[in-house]
Amino acid sequence: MFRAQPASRGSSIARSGLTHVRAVTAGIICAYVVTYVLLDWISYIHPAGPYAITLWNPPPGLSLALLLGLGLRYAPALFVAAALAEITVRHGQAHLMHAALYAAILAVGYTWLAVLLRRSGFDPAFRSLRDLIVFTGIVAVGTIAIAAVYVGAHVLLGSFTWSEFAGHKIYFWVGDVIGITITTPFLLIHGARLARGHTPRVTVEGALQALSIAAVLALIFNLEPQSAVNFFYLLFMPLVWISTRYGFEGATAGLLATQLGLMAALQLAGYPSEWALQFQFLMLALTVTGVFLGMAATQWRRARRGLENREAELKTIFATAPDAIVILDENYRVIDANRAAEAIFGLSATQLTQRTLHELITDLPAGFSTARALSAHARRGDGQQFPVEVSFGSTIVDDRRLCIGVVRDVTERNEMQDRLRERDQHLDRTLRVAAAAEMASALAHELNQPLTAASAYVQSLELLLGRHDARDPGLEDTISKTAAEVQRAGSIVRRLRNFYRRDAGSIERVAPDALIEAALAPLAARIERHRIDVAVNVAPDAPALLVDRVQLEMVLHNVLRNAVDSIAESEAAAAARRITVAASAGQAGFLTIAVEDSGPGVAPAIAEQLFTSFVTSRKEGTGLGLAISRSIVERHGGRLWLDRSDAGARFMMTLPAAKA
Amino acid sequence: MASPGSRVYIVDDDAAVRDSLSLLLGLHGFDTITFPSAESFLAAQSPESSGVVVVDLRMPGMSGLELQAELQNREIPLPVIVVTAHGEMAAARSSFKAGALDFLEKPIDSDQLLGAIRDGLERETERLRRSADAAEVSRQLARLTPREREVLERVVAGMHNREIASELKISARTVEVYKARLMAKMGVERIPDLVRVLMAARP
Repeated sequence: MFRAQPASRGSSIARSGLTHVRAVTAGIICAYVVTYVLLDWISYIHPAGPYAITLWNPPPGLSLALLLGLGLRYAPALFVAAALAEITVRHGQAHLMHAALYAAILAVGYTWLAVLLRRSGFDPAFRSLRDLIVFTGIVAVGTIAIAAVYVGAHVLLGSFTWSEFAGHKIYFWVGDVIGITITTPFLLIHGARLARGHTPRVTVEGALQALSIAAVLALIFNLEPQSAVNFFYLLFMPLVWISTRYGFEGATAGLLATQLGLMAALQLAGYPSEWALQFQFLMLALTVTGVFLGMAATQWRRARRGLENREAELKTIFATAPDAIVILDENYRVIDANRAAEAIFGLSATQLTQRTLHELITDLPAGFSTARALSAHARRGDGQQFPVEVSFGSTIVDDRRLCIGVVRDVTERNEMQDRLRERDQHLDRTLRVAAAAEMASALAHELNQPLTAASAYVQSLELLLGRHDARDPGLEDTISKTAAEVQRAGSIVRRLRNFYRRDAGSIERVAPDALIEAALAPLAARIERHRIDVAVNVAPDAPALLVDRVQLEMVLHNVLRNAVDSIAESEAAAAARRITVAASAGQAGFLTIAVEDSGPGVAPAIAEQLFTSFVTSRKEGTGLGLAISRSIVERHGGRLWLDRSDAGARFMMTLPAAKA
Repeated sequence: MASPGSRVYIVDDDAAVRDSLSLLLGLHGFDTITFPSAESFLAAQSPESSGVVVVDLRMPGMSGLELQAELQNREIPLPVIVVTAHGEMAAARSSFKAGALDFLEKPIDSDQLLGAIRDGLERETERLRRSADAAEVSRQLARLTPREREVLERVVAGMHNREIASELKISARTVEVYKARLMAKMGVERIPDLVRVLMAARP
């Protein structure tokens, strides 16, 4: 492992680091070569013929573990180790050239196996069953090829005859498959555990397991070879124990121990060599069973841990959900309920489990669907009814249909909606009355102009007529009647106007912040939806107002709604979506309220006629809003005007203040 | 002495109202000039203007009240009659506060209008007379020598000849001569007349 030396300083760090890596690499290679040769020497028992073919080959397992665990760049070391082993362990080698050839075949063969494994997407940590299947599959098939080439080379170079080829090939293959399947996973998994800082622990159970392997081996190898083969299956027992208890990790360790024990026992028992192949086939079966059983145990344990975690999560969600959750059986009887359910229904979980859904939710429709939320009423433990929103889901557990109900208490939400609706209706009524008044006023104004002109013309006519000598009494009479009618029209208009004229109605003292708050309330939902930031600044010296509260609320609401509309229609970034409402003491006896928005402003053509009746820039606007607003403010003796019309429009109004 | 004659300015955005009022007032012997907006009316005025203004309260652009304020701003002291098609009490209060002569609702009662115009013209005549008197007095004052003016100031302040003589370091006799000369120039025969003329000419 690479670790920078903490003491070095300056540019020497890089160089010393590199040297360190080289030293580590060289150390690994040396350790590998030495271990390889040692393993080869230990396992060089029961060779087929005089040469190199043995029944248990842990060295290729070591090579594969090196290439898979630390990288393919160590491939040349395989050649060195194999060549050294050929020369030192299998000292029958006459020719150095032959030794080099055999070593090359082995090095290339196992490197090729490692490449195949890497390409297959095999994970050296053996995380899944798939990794194990891929590994054993590639090793089993790949080693057939290596065995064929290696044994074939021996035949070609005259070590064996062709008649021996098939037998030696099987001999070699069994040795390789067992050696690799036991050694490589063991080294990869336990090596990785050591690298992560795990220290191997000897447990009582582990020791007993090791003991049981030794006992079974001792038992078997005290028998005749044929009986030993017959009773070999006894070795499955400790391995099943190990595999189910310690999973794949345990299985690899147990298999290694069994294999070592088996080789030792074979030596000690002094069985003839021909029995060795039989035992190794049995060992092969044991190995495959062990690793797959271990992997199954590991997978099962992992899955169970995942389920436990998931269940813990779900339990927490169930317990802490703000909505009541009840779990019902197929007869809609409560099986379980969470804390929120206890709180909403005023019943303990035990009391809840004695009720049915229809006792809790009183007006559930007969064939309610589980597809969408329903509005209904629930009854508390004390009999009190309250409005709820219920939604259902169902699932099948152990062939039982379970229904899960989520109940939300909507009392507060409904009350809030009712209040808002009432307020809207009130505003709406006020608006309608004010709109009628504004219409009457606008109509009166429009009619008064022609009436004024007509009246003046008629009077002029009377004067002109007086200048002529030849008077027609009929003409004079008609003109004076016309004058009277014009006057009558004028008085009708005046009466109409007076009917709707409301000199500010019920004047009361209103705090400016309360007025602003009330005017903003109906807009809250839209302000939130359009992500508008509203800042209200009421100066400390701002006096209370003396106004008709409802009317002025409507005026301010109108102006604020225009501001919201203006921003809502714009596509400004979040930071630029802002409305500022400021109230401060204005000129003596007045309060000034300024409403400023970050919208695009008011087009000049609109700004000129902004306060004229029936002029609007909005599609649904009546064009009365600001005209009425101005009328109301002026009736109070105040003023309402557009202070700035370009980007960031500002409306200002002055309103009469209460005497302090 | 200049005369306001019977000049009436009609400022209204409605053409029919302008035309009909102009006709009616013309028949009653007034000399009318019409303007479609407050701005065009103001453009034609100077501090020397005289007459009565009949202005509509609500017009696009400058309103009747704003026109009133602007006239005061420019020190054009024309009497203003505000007419409106709305019965706005608040606006009426404001216009009276700003010195409007009258506030009439449309349709206009012609007798009320004529009465208000006559009042306004009378007021104008009085104003012009006073300003003509003041002009005359200042013309006369301009003819005095510096010494005569010094004596005049002290005579009007009520000082005796002897006090004036000692203050100006001249003899009482000489004071008497100056006094006679300045009274002749001011066209008065007695000291109380002199004081009255000067007081009357004060704006």
